[in-house]
Amino acid sequence: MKSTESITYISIAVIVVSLFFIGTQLTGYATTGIVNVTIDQSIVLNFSTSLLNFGNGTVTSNPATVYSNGTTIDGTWDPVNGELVLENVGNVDANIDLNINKTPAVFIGGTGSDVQISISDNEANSCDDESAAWTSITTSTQTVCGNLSFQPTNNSINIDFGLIIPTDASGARTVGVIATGSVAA
Amino acid sequence: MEEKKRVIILVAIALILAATAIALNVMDSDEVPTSAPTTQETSDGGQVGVGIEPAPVEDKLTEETPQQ
Repeated sequence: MKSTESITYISIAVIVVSLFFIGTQLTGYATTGIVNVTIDQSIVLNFSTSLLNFGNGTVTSNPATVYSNGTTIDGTWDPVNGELVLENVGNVDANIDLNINKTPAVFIGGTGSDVQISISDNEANSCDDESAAWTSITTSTQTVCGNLSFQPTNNSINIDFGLIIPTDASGARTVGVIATGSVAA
Repeated sequence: MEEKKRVIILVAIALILAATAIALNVMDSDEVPTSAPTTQETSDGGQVGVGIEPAPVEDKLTEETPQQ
C-alpha cells in the first residue's frame, strides 16, 4: 500500500513539473517563428586564368628580364600581355598568400635568376592592400592581398610575373603557383 | 483494485506529459552556434612557363681573318 502511495505522489509530482514546462512553452499567442540555420564559412580559390606562357626567347645581354605586362629587356621574347587571374568564389573575404613550387634557381636555372610578381585588382576594389610593385617570390608563402572580397562583382586579382633570366639558363621551364586563403578577420 | 487502476492511469498521464514536455523543450531549442570556423583552401594552382634558347655562338675568328 505504501508503494502505491509513493508511486501516486511521484506521478503527481511528474505531472505538475511536466505541466509547468509545457505551460511555459505554450503559453501566449505565437506570431513569429524562429528558424535557425548555420552556414559554414568557406574559402574557395580559383585561377580563372591559370596559365601564363612567355614563349621562347634568347638572352641578348645578361640578364634578360621579361614581364607579363608586355615589357622585355635584353631578350628576344615577344611581348606578353597577360597574367594569372585569381578569384575568391567562396562565401567569405579571404587573405591571400602566394608561393611558387620551385625556387627561381630550380625554375629558371643559371646564376642570378629571379621571379617577381605584381598584384592588381582585376575587378575594382577586390583587394584592400595589394601592391603593384615588383616583388620577388619564392617557395615561402607571402601575403599578397588582404580581404579579397567574395562578392561576385569584385572578387578577383591579377598576378603579373617578371622573370630575370641569366645567360647561363636554358631549356623549357615551368613553375606552379599556389594560392592559399585564410578567413579575413 | 479501483485504487490500482487510478494509480496506473496517473502514471500513464505522468509519463505522457513528461514525454511531451521533453519533446517540446528539445524542438524549441534556439541555440545559435557562435563559433566561426576558419577554413583554409588551397586552389588547384596556376602555371608559368618560359622557353630559354641558348644565344647563337658567334664565330668571331672567321669574321676577323677572312679566308684567302
